[in-house]
Amino acid sequence: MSRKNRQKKRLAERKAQRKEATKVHLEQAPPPYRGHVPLEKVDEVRFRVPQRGLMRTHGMVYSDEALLPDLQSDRCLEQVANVATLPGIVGASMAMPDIHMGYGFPIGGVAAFDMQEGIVSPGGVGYDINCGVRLLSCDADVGALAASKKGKFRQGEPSAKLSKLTEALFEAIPAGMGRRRKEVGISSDDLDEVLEKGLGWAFRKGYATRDDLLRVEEGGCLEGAQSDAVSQRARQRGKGQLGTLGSGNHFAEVGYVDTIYDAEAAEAYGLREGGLTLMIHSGSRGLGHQVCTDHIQTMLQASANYGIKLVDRQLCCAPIPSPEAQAYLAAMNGAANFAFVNRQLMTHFARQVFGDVLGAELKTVYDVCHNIAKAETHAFEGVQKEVMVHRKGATRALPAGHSLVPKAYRNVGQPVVIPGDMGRYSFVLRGAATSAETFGSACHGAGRVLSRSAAKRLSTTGKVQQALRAKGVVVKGASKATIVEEMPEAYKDVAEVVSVVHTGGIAERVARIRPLGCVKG
Amino acid sequence: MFRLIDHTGDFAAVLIGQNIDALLQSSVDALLAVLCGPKPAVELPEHVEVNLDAIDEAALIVALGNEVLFLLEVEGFLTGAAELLEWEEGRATVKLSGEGFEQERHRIERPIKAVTHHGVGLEEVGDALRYEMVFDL
Repeated sequence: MSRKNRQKKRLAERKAQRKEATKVHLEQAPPPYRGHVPLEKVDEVRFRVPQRGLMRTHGMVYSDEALLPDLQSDRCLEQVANVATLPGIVGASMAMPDIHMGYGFPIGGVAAFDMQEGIVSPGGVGYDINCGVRLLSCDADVGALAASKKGKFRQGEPSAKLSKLTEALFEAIPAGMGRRRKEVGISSDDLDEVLEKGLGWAFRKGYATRDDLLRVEEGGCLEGAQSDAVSQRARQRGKGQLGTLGSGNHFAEVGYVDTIYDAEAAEAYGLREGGLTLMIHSGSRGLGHQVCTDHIQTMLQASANYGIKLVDRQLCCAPIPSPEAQAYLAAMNGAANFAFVNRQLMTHFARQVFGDVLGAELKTVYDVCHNIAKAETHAFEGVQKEVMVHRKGATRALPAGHSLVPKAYRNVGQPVVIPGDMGRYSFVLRGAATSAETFGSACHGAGRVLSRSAAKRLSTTGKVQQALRAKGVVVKGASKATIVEEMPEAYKDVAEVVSVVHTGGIAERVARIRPLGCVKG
Repeated sequence: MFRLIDHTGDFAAVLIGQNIDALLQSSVDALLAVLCGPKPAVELPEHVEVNLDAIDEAALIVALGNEVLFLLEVEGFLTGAAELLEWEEGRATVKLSGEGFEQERHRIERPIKAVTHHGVGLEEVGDALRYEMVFDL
């Protein structure tokens, strides 16, 4: 056979092989909506997505007339409808007012599933497992950052002290891709303990106080984590990343409380007018990303095996009692614990910075997960029911009296920390009684309104930094692209977002925080 | 070929190619454009073969993207080209060409957490294939 013929034969064989390999095993079902999604007004802040096609329930979007136009500008409402097609969904497929387009679930999506008939979906949690936010209060006031010792703080040109503090935080908290933390030696045994014990490890090593443990969702340790469920590849990706910020919308931000709305809750949370704060937004870094990647691969096959019709592959899933789901939950809980420790280590190093620069101390107010699936018991149709709550860009918001709220806050409700953007403000709320209808969930931030490309078309990094500086805000970023893409105008006004959950009785305003210095990934 | 498109939360790209080989190369090009900016200069002196699990073309594109990210983050290997060598029973062997990542030359503008499976999958448009790829940033 000539060389040409051999090559021809090989190509034909390869084509046949590929045909075999590309046999579609996974049924792709038609999504309920493509394009415009109708919304039926229920009341001032609730809008129903009608049940259609494969939807097993309706969608419920928390929003208002001011925010609604943005919702039809991307495909987030289609994603709300898509989630409603998943087996065993309990109640509605919900979206918080900071909803915007994600992948699989929308960002701001909340859905609960029956523990027997329902599913768990890695796409309902996301790649950055337990991406979340920690708020710390400082015993120093904003006056400590005034231009002179005698001077009063005025929002405007940043003082040298503020620049020094921001610079020192930027040095102490590695940000951006590939930045690792070398001074914390994590052995393989340490990593096992981090994955299974979460903040218990950090406490044992002296990186956390007992008080920190009491003020973190689930005490900083999700039960059921198994270190051996986390792949070697995930461990490799996470190596050296504990105590690092990451990139994208992650940040560490110095601010101060400029308004108190609820004196009783603010006092319980240790927040006072003029008091400095630090907010840290980060997640499980490469380890979490790899856990999600690994298990989506498994879940694609599992969805086919269990006959689950998917309208979007990113919603691939498995029944909760199945081995595939249990393996995912064991790994996901480990990644979540890794994220708790990640934020704790950044807290530890930020404490050193605040001590060095201001002679001040930081105390944890609260630390919440934004991306998680958890078995929780909630009242549903008058009955206490255990469900698998998926929060994808949403915050737990438990009301006063709930047993999972830390004792120190039980009389006022769980702190709900809602970061805004670098230029305007952030809010602290408290979980309120109506959060029972959202399975104890509220919004998690402002929510993007501009794509990153659109933000880049609007301005430049230099102009954004200059504009923020004029407002008295110092920004240090590991990547120039991130600063312009995260410009304040890229986000909804978080005051409008918060107004929806406040009006809806899901979470109520406690305090407002103004930004001063921001470290971005 | 590829075209970056707007996505409110993250970043997305439309890939167009005559066959899966072309789509795989386009996916690497798109990934590089998001990571390093519009004209990344990646040389191809080093090669590595990787095995990927993929039940179909769409899954293969996503698996390749995530492998490229893994190699960059863990091995410091920046991929510039991909060639499908073999694909049998859901397991593909792909040859990746590229070079060691150097911070100064290959400045990372926008780190990517993962390539997602979001969307309707591979579509046939005329005699070409089209795939919409969504990145999680």
